[in-house]
Amino acid sequence: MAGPRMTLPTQAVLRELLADPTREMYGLEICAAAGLPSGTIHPILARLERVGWLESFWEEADPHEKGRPRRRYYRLNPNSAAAVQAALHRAESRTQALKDLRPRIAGGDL
Amino acid sequence: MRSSRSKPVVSAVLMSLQRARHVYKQALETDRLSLADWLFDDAGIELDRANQLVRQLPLTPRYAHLHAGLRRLRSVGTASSQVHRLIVELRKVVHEAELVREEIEISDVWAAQRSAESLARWAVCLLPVRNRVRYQEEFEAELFELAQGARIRQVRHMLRIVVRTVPLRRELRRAVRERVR
Repeated sequence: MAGPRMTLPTQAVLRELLADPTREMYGLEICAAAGLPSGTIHPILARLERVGWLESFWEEADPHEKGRPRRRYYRLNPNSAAAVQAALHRAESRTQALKDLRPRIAGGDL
Repeated sequence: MRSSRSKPVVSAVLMSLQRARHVYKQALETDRLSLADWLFDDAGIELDRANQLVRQLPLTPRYAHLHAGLRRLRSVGTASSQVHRLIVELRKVVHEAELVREEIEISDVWAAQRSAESLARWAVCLLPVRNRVRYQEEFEAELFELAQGARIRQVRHMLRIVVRTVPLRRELRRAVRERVR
């Protein structure tokens, strides 16, 4: 399966999840950790889930005991950590290459 | 009146003035207007007493000065009771205005929450049928988490979700197509 589009928000989400691959996080938590505005993350999570890099599941706690609705948790698929790492590395290299290119286009570099 | 005979009168004037000062202070410190009115009257009576005592004194320039001062004090005392009434009434009106503002804020909060909930339902309706239950629950859980802060955050959150419903729907449909293949 082809990798997902590695937009900057997608990279930020993956970086957060990769920081501790076993950690389970819910949507708002990932948003906050990745520095994204709340409500912007669902298409990214759905995309990562579609390509199999993420797993999601409902928490098993009883909402009455917790006093809040149950959360949908996301975690990195353990089998995808290497692919995620490589994709992130490629995306970061591309971003860096673009950054290096910019001054030359602008005529700032010889 | 010789100065030896004037001395007890001046002492009595001084006592009346001290008592009036004490009573005025009490009147200014209370928020109960009926008590304040009574205290202002009481202090005014003390000033009148002092005024009557001063009239017993010979009309020398020094005592005339004291007499004029007492008259001024009496009119300032009356004005003070009006200012005090104004402050107390103003405090009541400010308190009422604060209550009204709180009520408006509470109704705004409920309106914001209702708007966020309707936005959540609307966003869910735009998703593929098979994913609706999951996202309905997920959005509700997020609204609950955001309810801890300012309610307007819920509306902003749901507006962002609505805006991103199209890419989310695309991803979910693509996932189904890929699974079928």
